Amino acid sequence: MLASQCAQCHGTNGQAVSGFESIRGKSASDMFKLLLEMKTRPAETIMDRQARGYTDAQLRLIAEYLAKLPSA
Amino acid sequence: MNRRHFLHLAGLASASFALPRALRAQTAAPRVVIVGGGFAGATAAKYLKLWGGNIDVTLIDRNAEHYACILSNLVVTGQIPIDRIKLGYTNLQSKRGVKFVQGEVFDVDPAARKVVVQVGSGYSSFTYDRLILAPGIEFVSPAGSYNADLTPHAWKAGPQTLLLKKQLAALPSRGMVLLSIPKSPYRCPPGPYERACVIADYLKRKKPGARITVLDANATIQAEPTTFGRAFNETYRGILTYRPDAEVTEVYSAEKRLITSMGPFSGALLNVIPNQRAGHIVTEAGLVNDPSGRWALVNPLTYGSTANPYIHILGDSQGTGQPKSGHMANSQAKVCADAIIRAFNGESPDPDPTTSSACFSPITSTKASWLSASFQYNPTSGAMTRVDLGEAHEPTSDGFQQMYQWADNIFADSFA
Repeated sequence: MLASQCAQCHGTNGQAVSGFESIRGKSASDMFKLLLEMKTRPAETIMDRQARGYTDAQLRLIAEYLAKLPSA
Repeated sequence: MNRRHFLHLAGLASASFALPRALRAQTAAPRVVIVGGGFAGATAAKYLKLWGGNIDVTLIDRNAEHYACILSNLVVTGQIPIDRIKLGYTNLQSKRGVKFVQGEVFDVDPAARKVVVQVGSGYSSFTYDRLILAPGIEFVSPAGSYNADLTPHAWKAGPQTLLLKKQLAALPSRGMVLLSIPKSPYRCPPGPYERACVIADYLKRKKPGARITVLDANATIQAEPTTFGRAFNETYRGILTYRPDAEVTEVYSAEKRLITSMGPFSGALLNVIPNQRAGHIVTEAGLVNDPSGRWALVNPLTYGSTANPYIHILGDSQGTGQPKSGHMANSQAKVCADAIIRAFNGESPDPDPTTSSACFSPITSTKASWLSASFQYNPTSGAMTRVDLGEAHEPTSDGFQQMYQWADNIFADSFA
């Protein structure tokens, strides 16, 4: 359910219909690292803000879940 | 149960009631009935099927399609056609197995767990294990002689959007537009300010000498204060006047005038967005129970009504204090769908739900800003607590493209 909160922009099950990057099937550790970087760097983009809405543990769960989905 | 409805129904032929009972006997699938096919209802229907498998999901709406409020301000200014925001239910039916019924809900009977729907000239009855009410907002009519067919709100998209578009196109040069913003909470906190901006931009481009006065019932700008403050004071200086603390008390639509706490105003075009409350059906079902008397209290782990745990209330009608937006409705619908599926499996709801709202707002005809708000469940208070809030540093043309991409994705995540 946590990862479904990414789907409004990145598509159902992480597969976007247009524009934004599909986020499924990527390396879990890379994704977690990226989300943590977004969360901690000065907020410039909308994802920098969205990442601030989750605990580190939640971000790890999201990254692990999306990584298990076959890549788009 | 509404006595008038009950008495009326007692006189009807009973044949239409026999069918659902027969169907019920043939299947053990739990039944969820959803009333209201906006972002909340559509997303709940989709994710109940996507995650829940063998659940009988019936989505009921009075209209055959939904017009999204998202992007609708650009329909008003003629920048995009209304078909761009028209969303149907065919994908939910063919791809997800949702049953769609076009009809007007006539009665909710919580004791019998039954919804009676007027479909065409007949009545159908739907029994449920869980009912989701997602009717959106209802307007509180201002005093005076208010008529939305003369002075459109365009705060429910569709014919109202087209009416406002028509009136704006017909505005005489040097004409005055009055836009009134309701008292919070209302649907889409940045929406009225976004509309003020795109109308001001339109006047600048197409109606030389015309101006817009924004009458805000609130003391301050309710969303993206930096972005909209700058747009009002700089980008639209000389065209747009912002008046805080100007609450509309009376509207005379035919005379195109209104009275506010800051005095009387009149204009060539009045776009009055009235104060808001939970959809009528939520009130009829006796579920409006927050201190303001306008919204329905729910448990944010399930969106179950605090007055009836078998009825869930999603989106604009619920009173958790989270912003009322399509994105937020989609977000809540996923929490609710997950909780209902767990309940059917005899499990407790997720104790740690998150919700968020992310949206893009056009500030001019080529640039858009964004807003992001994130919420976490607080087990001590039992409420959803905002843990982050931010807005774009400035509106950009990249943001304008991202706005369309965001709309496409949230439309698909909710309706396809």
